[in-house]
Amino acid sequence: MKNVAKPKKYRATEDSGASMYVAHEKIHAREISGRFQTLRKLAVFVLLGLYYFLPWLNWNGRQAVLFDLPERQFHVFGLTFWPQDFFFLALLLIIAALSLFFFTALAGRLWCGYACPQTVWTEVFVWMERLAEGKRNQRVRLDAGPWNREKILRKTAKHGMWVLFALWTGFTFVGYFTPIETLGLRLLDFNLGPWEAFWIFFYGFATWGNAGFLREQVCMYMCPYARFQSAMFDSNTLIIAYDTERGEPRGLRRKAVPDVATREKLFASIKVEHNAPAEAKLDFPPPEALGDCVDCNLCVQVCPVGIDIRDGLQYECIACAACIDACDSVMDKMGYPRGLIRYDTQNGMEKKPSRILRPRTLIYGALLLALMGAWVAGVTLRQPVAMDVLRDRNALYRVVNDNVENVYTLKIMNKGNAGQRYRLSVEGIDAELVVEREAATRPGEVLSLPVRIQAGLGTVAGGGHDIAFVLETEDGARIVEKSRFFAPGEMQ
Amino acid sequence: MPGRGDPSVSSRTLRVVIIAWASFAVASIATAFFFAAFDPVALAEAATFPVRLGRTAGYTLGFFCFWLIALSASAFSVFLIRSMEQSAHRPQ
Ligand code: SF4
Ligand code: SF4
Repeated sequence: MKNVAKPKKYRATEDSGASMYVAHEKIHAREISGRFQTLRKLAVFVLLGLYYFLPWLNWNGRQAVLFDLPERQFHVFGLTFWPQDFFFLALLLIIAALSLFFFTALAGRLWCGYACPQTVWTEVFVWMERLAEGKRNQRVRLDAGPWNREKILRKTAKHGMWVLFALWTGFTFVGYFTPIETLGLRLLDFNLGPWEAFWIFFYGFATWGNAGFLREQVCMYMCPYARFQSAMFDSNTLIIAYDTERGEPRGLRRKAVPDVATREKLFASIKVEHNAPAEAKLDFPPPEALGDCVDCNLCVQVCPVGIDIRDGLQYECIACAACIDACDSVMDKMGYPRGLIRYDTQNGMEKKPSRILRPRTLIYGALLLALMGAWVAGVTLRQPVAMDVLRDRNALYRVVNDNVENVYTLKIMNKGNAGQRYRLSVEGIDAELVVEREAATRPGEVLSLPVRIQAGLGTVAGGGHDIAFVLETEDGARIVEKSRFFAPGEMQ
Repeated sequence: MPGRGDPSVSSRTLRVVIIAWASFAVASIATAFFFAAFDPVALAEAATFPVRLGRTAGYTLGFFCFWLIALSASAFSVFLIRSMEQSAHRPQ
């Protein structure tokens, strides 16, 4: 009989608020190295490297990535976005959400384990903690011990590193929104604006609190994704799982005991040859009496969220794969094949084939491609200029010296990076367009231009006429905006 | 096992943190949408009382207003839901 561990209930589904939260004890995760931890470190370097480096990169003499809030314009390499382009930002957010769905359906919580800022910054903070306070056992002892000189020194060192790093993080964050070079100079001058200083501290404080103290509690109690990701899972989703079939019944053993698969073969061959109970001949426990889990608990000790993966998939699991690396190292030591805990699908665990192409991934994938295509097309086909026509609200028309006159305000928005001059004309009516001022804009400017359309009394029929304003830029862009022209006559 | 134990009294703290965090997230989104449409400087000029406001100050102020509004709604909802549940659980 295999004794399979009971899966633990999701605590979030328990009803009353009080039972949902359990007393939090600080988790001292044990350090582990291995394939996946190397991969995660790489991800930390690449992502944080990008984060801290990007604002210092220049492009055409300007900060390459700058969400210039004071100037109300976003620069992303060669592209400039104005508030009018907010649509693209919204679309980008939708694309980001959809890719999260897509990758979750495909490979589970990859995001959590490798890319989530919460995980990434926590990694760095944990690394600093190790640097100052030592390995797991030392940290546990230090926390339990009295406040002596060593404890004070080590704790000060840790918090010193944390605070500096958090402040630098906050500074970089603000550097995405206001030019970082001048920000740096002002910082050295102790001449920061009050709001800049405030946001540096605010973001620094958030980093420090989340990565230094809250850690896995952010994932467990604050992250919406952790709650709904299971809705995107199916039996073909790649998850981190313990092979219960192979591992149970778990138990300690002598080092010489071979793995389950080998023992199965041994017992089978002996049974055939001697036709006698195999146990009598072999000095090993039979495969059904002892699985491959040596019950060393290493997988539990390395887990940053403090769960036991052998209890089954739990929503707290952030898929950091530390338990895989831990278990693989144990399997290596025992001379067992790796992968008692591994990345696999539910189907794979049940020895059924897994499918990557399935309606869920196909639909998410197609939607994602369509939206990304729309975004790229939208951005490349963006008109460098936009125009709105507002009719004068006070009067339909005026009669001035034998002329009938309608008044409009043109709102002309220059979305390019250079100054522009425009040619304006009107279509659909035989009348004269009077433009009061020169139609020219600086980059990013919204020009409010009052214009009048004049026609000789009697040359146009009474009533409303459909007209169109035509705006042409020097580099050939042409924009047409419809409006109406009114003249006195039958309508009265 | 670390992190597992008896139900804790700090579920109240947890509620406060969740309310603050959820309204923070909503306020961030609201701020982005609102200031994409309106320039704080123009808003200050259009105000019915005299204000002098830079853009960065305007954004920050706007953000905290949104946060405060979301916070109140969030806390109010939690209060109503909690008191409803408590009266439902009371023995008749
Ligand atoms: S069970 Fe723990 S160690 Fe294993 S992947 Fe999940 S969070 Fe990481
Ligand atoms: S690390 Fe592997 S062998 Fe050790 S307790 Fe965990 S599952 Fe069992």
